[in-house]
Amino acid sequence: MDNVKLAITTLINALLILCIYGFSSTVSAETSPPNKAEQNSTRHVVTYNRDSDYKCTQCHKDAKQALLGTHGEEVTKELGKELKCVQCHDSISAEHRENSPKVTKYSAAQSKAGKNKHQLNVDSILSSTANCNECHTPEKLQEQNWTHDVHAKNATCSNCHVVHADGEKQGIQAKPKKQQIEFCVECHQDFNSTDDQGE
Amino acid sequence: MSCTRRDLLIGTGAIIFTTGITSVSSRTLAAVMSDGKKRYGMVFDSSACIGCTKCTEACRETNNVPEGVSRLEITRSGPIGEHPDVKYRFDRTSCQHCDNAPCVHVCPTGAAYKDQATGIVDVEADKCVGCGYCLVACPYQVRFFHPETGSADKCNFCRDTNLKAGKLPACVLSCPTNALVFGDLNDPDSEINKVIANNTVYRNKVELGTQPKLYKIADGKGEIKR
Amino acid sequence: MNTFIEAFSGEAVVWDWIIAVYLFLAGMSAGMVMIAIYLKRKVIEGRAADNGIIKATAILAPFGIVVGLTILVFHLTKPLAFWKIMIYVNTTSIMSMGVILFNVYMAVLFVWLAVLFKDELLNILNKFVGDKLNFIGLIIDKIKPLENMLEVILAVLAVTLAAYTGFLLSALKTFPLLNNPVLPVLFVFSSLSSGAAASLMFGVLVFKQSMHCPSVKWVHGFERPVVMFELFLLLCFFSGLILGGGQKEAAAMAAIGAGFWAGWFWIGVVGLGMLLPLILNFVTSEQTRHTSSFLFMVTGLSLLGVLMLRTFILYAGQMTVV
Repeated sequence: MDNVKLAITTLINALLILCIYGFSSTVSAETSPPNKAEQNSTRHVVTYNRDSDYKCTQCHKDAKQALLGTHGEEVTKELGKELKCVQCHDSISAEHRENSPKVTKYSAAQSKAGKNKHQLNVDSILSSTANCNECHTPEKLQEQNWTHDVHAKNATCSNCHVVHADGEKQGIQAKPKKQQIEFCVECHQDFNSTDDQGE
Repeated sequence: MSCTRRDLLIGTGAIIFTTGITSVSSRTLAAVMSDGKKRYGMVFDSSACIGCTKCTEACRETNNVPEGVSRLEITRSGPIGEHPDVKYRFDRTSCQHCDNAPCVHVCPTGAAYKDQATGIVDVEADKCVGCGYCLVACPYQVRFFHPETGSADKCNFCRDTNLKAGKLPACVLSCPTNALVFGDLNDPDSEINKVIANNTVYRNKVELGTQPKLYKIADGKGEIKR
Repeated sequence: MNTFIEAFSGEAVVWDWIIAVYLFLAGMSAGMVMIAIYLKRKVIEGRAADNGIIKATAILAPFGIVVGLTILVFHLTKPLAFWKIMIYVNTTSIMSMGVILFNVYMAVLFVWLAVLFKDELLNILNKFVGDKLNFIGLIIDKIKPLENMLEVILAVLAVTLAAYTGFLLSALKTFPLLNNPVLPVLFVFSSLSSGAAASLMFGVLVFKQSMHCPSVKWVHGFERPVVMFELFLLLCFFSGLILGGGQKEAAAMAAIGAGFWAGWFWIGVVGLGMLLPLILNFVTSEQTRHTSSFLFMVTGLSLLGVLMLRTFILYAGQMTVV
């Protein structure tokens, strides 16, 4: 009987030691220096199983291509990683598939009323442009063109720019100087005739 | 004096036609009928100017001004302030149509002259020999040699183009913000005189005795740079 | 070298260096005529036409004015239309008055020289054309009694011409540095100094006038006070601007305070053109002063100084707008 008892105790002890060993090896796994065999194996390499844009593109079929148009290679080079839909279009609610009232959008809007123009108050315009301004800082914009400064409170970016242009630049940047001037005139003439009181 | 029904009808028609036009569009030449000597002048409202330079473009097209030179320039200074309240100031550089014009006084051939009927300072290109005396004599530095004709050239309020056709100068017509007012300074009821009376205006370098006819409304952003 | 090119290719300059050359040539012509007339009337004994300085004037004065005017014509944007400047007159235009002055000056100068050099002129005509043009001698004989009057008129015209080059620029309200009442006086005296230098250089070195003859001595003696007075005028010129304040002061400081043109002025105009000749004349012995190479160097420096002064006034003047 004693033999059996001893055998059981030894077994339990052995098991315990095994358990402790096993536990300790798991615990130290992270800190232990990686050995070559482990590095070569693909078994433990974690891969993202989900692109954050994957879900978006299920419904918005061409969205990814649209995004890569003007925010593609150059941006990836600048940021070191790809730009994702939600980085700009954040605050997506649970009811997104039903309706999309909460997604941040960047449609053309201006502070003064105009014919066929969407009007927004100054705060909404500023919050809309704030996101763009994180990369396109006011300093950089000022350097590129003075008109950014004077429209900071008065127009959203997409008033003049096509944010998701297809490859080549569209909007104001694609126009020759003469047409750019015409662009200014069109808009200013519009709200000057709508609202003669001025400011 | 006899007045037939036909004459009367034509007369009333003419009156309706002319008054009708002026009431429909306030942006045609204020006084089309000749009523004595005119003294054309201009107001540049820098508080309304947005610096789009459409005026420069319009002038270029209307008066066939080649690239590289310009009768009219909008200069921008700034930036003033911090984002999102950055502002710029705009100024117009063009002929001031001085009543006492230095260019006219110095011109050796009389090619530079002031038109007595309108007060417009103009250049008779054919008489000009291209000595450049007027270019250096103009304190506003608005004259240049036309690259094609070799004559001195500058703004003449579209005297031979739009004005001749009964229209306002091209810059005035094209301005999207109505920052330019053109009219007869001799007419007390003209729009330009009302604008001058109701605003604080200034003119450049009046201390030189040039008596310029380009008035400016300050933009309300700091000191006026005369 | 780059600053040199930059300084001369400023886009704001309508009238460039070639106009400075014209101002220099016209001034030199006027200066030589003034000196020659004085010498003929007061200093030279015997036949004036035999004097080297008068001979030099007979060549250089017409040369200066003709070349100067040619430069002007080709500086126009429409050189072929230059005749229009002759037929249209604008009494308020200094340039228009100047054109008339130039024409009258040239006419009187040629007539005066013809009277003075009648024998030489007829000899040349005989050699090349034969005796068909002998009536010219008769005409000159008719004018001969008027010589005194001609000289007085020509002297007045020469002074006016020298001053005109100054008035031409001082009429410009645009540029505070040029719009300066001292400028015409300064130009008259710089004309005289260039006239004196050219008279000596060509009279002695080309036409072999003796350095010990009264006329050369007189011109020598005349040079120093002229240069001294020129320096004083420059002092008046710039102190007037600086004390005037505002844009006048700004213009003066921009011109002689710092930069390329300040160096040009202090080293070239004042140093090389005025002080160095004065010093050289002061420190050297009588013997050295009477060598041809010394004379050539000193008069050359004076001429260079005057040319540099005209260039400086033109460029520095157009630098600052009122």
